[in-house]
Amino acid sequence: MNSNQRKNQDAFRKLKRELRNQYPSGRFVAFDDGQIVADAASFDELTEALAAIGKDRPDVFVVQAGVDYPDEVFILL
Amino acid sequence: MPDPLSEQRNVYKGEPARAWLRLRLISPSDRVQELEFLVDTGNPCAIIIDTPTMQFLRWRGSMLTESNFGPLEGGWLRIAVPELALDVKTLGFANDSVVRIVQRSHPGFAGLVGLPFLRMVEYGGDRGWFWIRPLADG
Repeated sequence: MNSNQRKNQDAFRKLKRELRNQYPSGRFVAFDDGQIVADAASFDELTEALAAIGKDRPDVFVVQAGVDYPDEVFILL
Repeated sequence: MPDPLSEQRNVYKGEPARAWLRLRLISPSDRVQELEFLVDTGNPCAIIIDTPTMQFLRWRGSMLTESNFGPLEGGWLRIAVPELALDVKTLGFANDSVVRIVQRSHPGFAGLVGLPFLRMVEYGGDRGWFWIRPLADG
């Protein structure tokens, strides 16, 4: 994990609860350099928004507001 | 009888015999990889692939989650199933240990598909086959 990914991961953890309150459930939210840089109703609209600010890059971090992302999962194989 | 063009039907394969799917993963630069995945309805992740494949195919990064196989690195992937006219961007994960274990069932498997992906389609199986179809309600 590079430093940008770590910053984004940390920012997401800090803001997880606020995302739920500040954005409609399911909204796509993008982080870069540890900050929220764009949000949109769909993944493709978010891509357009990121392109408009010169951040259409694979290392930009994206989550959906209101989705319960578990901190740990158990995989049975 | 469903339209055969609107389903994907695969004979179980591997040792032991496992349900599997063929998915088309498409990179942001439109590079296509058609890969086979072991299916496990008990897997809580839509899809798990190895790290190099994630690096090549991911559209965006996402969260890191811990698992009993070590960290799962999140990334948004574009997955298509042409037979079903399905083309979605969904959150997948990378973990090389999971893929290595999946490949013990069959070396051709590129990873694991789980319930979040299967909920985007109808799925079923019988004595000889596993299949997926489009959702009845679209």
